[in-house]
This record gives sequence, C-alpha cells and structure tokens, in this order.
Amino acid sequence: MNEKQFYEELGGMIAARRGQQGLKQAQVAQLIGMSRAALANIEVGRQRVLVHQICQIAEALKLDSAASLLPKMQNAPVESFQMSGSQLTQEQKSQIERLIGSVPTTQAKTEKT
Amino acid sequence: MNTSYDKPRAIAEATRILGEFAITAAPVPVEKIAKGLGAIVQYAPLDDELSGMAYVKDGKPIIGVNALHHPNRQRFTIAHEIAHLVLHRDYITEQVHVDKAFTMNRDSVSATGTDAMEIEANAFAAQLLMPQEWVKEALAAESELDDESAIPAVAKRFKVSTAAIQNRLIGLASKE
Repeated sequence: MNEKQFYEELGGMIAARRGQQGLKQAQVAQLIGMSRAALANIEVGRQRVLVHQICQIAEALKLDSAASLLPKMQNAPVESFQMSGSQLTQEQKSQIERLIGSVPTTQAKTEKT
Repeated sequence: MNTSYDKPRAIAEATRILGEFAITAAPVPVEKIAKGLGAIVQYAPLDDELSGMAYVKDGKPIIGVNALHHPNRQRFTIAHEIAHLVLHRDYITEQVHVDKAFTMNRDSVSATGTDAMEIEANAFAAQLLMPQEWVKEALAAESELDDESAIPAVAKRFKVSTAAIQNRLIGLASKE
C-alpha cells in the first residue's frame, strides 16, 4: 500500500468508528484539542496525523488500542473474489475486497481447530 | 438456480435460532447470534448504497457490515446476512454475496434466484429481529399507554427503525 492509500484508509476507519459511536467531528476534535477542520482533513487522508494524535483519537473513540485504526501497510495481495447479488462499481468491489482482506485470518484458522 | 422461494421455511428457521440461543425478549442480540453461529462480524466503511455482505472463506463465515450506517440498520443487515448463512450457505461459499439497500416490500417479484434468496432473507431477518408474537404483544402494551407514540416506542424496544416496524406490521396484517 502506498502512503496516500494508507492515510485515506486510516481516515476512513476513524470516520467509521466515529459514526458508529454517534459522535460529530466537532465533538471529537474538541476532546483532543484539535480543530474540526484538522480532523476533517485527517478523515479524508489529506492531513498526516502524528502518533500521539492517533492515540488521542483512539481514546476519544473509546478504543482500547490505536492499533485497531491502523491499516496494514503490507497487505496480503488483495484476492479477487467472485461477487454476486448486486451490480457493483469498481470502487464498491474494492471496498468489499478490503473488508474481506481485513478479517483476521489467523483467528479464522485457530477457531477452526 | 432455484427461482421459487420458501418464506415459511425462512420464518421457521429464524424461530428455531431464537430458541437455540434461548432468546426470549427484545432487543434480539443479532451480533451475538452471528458469532454463536461461528461467523466473524466485520465492520468497514462502505459506499452508502451497500448494506453488507456474506461469504464463507476457508470454512469460516464472514459477515460484513457497513460501518457508516445507523446501528439499527446494521442490526437489520446482520440479521439479513445471518439468513444467507443459515439458508443459503452453499451459495455464499462459492462467491461473495453483496447486499445493496434492502427493499423490504417488493410489489413485483421478478423471477431470479437472487430475488428468491433476498425474499427469504428478509422474511428471516424480520422474524429474527421482530418475532411476530412479540411485536403484537409490545404493540398492544404500548398502544394502551399512548396510541400516538406506540410505533416509535416498539421500534425502540426492538432496536430497529420505525420503518422496519411499520413494514413488519404491514406484512403481518396482509397475512391475516
């Protein structure tokens, strides 16, 4: 994964988690002493976030660890899957592939035994 | 692919699962049920149009949910994907099955196998999240208190959208 994609995915994870928690950008920004605009830029990957900031964001989003927000740099080569059900755009297909790729496979293996 | 659908079987399976997990009151813990059935529930930001997906990868079922949707909607998505897992496991083992915004009421049923599966999955999800008897009881109880706010109150109790409860009531009424 290149840097641009990394920050875009990181931002996407932050936005998703924030939405899940029912929080507004302004609320989270205030909690961590950041401007709303800065957080908005981070969420779209336009602004590169510092390590202490990512920890603050994770805490504000009630995560145990900032690691759960971080995308993998070295992605397993994205498998391509045959998809059914609906007509999908290329972007939608890659979102689904990323979702499947993000499932912890080690967990899948140990639970099988 | 089979183009006929079997709603009674879908509903019976949902009822069976509620029994298997000893669920006796709303709100139904759909994520817990999914995990109990051996699935991994994974949230990820997806295009607004996409609700979720189901796929059995190397023997392990994966239920994907759009992390950006409202929690109530995510609950319906999970229930719907559990249906695919329970009713259509072979199909979702061969390929990733992606669900776009669910159409709860279809006027015209075009005869494709995919539509048949969606009809079954919706019937299953409705029964799993909003078991017929429970909805009737809850509605009766809430209507006694206040007729105006009864439906939102029932929706809140079941942790579903008001639209979902309304659709459920329409579905149940048309059956009677």
